[in-house]
Amino acid sequence: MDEPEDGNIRNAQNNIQDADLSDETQDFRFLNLLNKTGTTALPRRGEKDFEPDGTDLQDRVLNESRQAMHEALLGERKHSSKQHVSATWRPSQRMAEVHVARGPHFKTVGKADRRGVLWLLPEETIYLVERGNLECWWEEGVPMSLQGVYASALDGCGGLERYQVYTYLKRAGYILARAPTFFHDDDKVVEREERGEGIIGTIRPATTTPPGIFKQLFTSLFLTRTKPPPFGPVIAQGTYRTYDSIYSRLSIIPTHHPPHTPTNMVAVASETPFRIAYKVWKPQPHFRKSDPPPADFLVAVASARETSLPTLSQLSALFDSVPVDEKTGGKSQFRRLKDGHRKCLVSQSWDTEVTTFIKFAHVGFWVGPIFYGKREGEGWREIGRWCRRERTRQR
Amino acid sequence: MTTPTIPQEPFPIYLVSSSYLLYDATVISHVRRTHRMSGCLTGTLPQIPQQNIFLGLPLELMIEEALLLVDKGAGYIVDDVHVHEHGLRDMLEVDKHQFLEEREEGQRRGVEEYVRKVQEKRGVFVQGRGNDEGGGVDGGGQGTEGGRGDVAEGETVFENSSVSNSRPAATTAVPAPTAANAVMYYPTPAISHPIYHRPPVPWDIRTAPLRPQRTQGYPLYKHLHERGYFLSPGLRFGCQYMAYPGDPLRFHSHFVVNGLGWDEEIEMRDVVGGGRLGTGVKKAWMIGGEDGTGEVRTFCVEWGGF
Repeated sequence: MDEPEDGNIRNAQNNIQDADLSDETQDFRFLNLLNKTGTTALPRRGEKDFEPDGTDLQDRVLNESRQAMHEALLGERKHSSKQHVSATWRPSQRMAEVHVARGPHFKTVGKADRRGVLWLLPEETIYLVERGNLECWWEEGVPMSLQGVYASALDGCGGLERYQVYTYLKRAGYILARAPTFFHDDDKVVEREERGEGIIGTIRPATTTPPGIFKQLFTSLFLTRTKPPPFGPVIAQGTYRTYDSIYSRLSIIPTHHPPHTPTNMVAVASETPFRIAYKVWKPQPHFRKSDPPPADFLVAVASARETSLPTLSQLSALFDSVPVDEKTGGKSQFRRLKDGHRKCLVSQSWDTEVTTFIKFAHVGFWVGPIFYGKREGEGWREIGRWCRRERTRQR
Repeated sequence: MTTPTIPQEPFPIYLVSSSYLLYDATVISHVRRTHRMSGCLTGTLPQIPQQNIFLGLPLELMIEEALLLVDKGAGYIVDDVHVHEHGLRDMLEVDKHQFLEEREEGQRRGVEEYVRKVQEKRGVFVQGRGNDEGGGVDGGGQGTEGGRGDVAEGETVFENSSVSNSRPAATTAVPAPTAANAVMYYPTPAISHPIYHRPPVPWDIRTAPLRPQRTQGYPLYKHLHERGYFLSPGLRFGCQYMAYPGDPLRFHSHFVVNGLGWDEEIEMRDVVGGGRLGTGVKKAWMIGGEDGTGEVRTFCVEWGGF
């Protein structure tokens, strides 16, 4: 069972890419290696055993691992006076007031108010304390412990799940900010009916883009577009002068049209947990938190223990609070289907050990009548040509 | 090397924002060794904070783990938000002053230690260089030898060379380390201090003790745990728990476990999907639950072929 099977291609080839080291509990003995030499080589997987065999060797190795873990956990979180940053936790504001900001973290973290006081959000406070970069004081005049900062600030983060997603991405180097829809505010005053059409409302017959002007002229002169009769064949008897007139009659199944241009974003209907919690940017050197570029990812956080996948109406509401990616329209058809016009990530976690991200994209399979064959060079016309070629070749 | 000591039972399990957390490395090691529970480390490890492979304090217990510890009488649940709020309010000024003084004292000792170390190093460095300049090929070897030998000797050499050395820039550019400009460290302890944090002792709690909610998978969790398995959350494999034959630090898991109700209907495609999944990751897909009599039974499905 331990041997990799020869016939398994995945094992043989893709193992390196497939291996996610955070998938399994890693041996803490390797941590010391990482720490001392400063090398970036991460431990290989597959260093574990199949089952306890009762040997002293195995016991010893396990004890060493446990000992290494224990010592890693005793590691002190501290910073030197050169990077000393202190803050006071204000329970009334649910934020920490920074006394003097210093260091690279403040490029992406914290927000100044009008008086010039820098405030840290609860998740930012816990994250910095946990790393040992911040000394946070209670108003009562004692510095917080790690336990204390969790007790005081975790509720303000929206629970451990949200904080866990925040800190997971932070540790991976991403830049995060709260989305305006972070809290479930009482903005439900606006009636649901008032907002624009949701996903279901945008389902329309497939062919609606107006054809070119000459074609329109031609059509109006020579062809009359009649509605298909309620019974009988879809292509009734008659004269058809173009393929389009036949194809357009054939496309009788309504399709979904996601918006291609910016629409009004409505955040009202999206409900916790399927509500955008964080805006995420890839690491970038010239990030300005006062004037951030459009976010690379939008993340909603849900607990896998309590929630299932979002329903269509939940997704619809979620997408209504996401800006349309205008670049999608210019991409190839495959990319368009993959990326979608609006997308967001939903992070699911089960007791925080495993933080998983699922991408939901708002995709329209109707990307213009593909029977024109203009966009990809792979339309029906090309296929028809190919078929004719094949036929002549066979003769 | 610090050998983990055994903490007093029952130990408090801290409930914050509906998560069950442990902050004490000693308790965590104890729970792992004695109670065969690994929990999930969720915090950033301060030694190497920019990675997600090795994590640090706090440790989050699965709701099943917390419940089992409570049932065993090994732990009890404490509402940590409440305890901190009350503790801070009732903190005595005298205690606070003493605590802050001790803290400063600790920092001062750290500074002294730091100054001493820097001076030691500097002694070694300057002595080594002095030898290089004046001496010959074997100077370096001598220098390190002397430096390792005695600190006092190193300091005298340091003073002499600074006077006689033709290059004063080396010594004047770097000011001598003093308590004023030395690097001071600001540590954050993991555990709250008793002056502002006094969790109630279990026999002193007057209201009904807090108890984690019993989940559907709990009977199966308990059943496997009693048979020596370590269980951890299994979302990565699309199940409730992963069952390890021993400590996950050392062993690969054997089972992909789902706890179900006894009369719960299982869809055929779930069985097929689970069987394929389990076999695909070299594990067995296990379902199980408590029957009417309170006995837990388990079933494994593997993807086979003729």
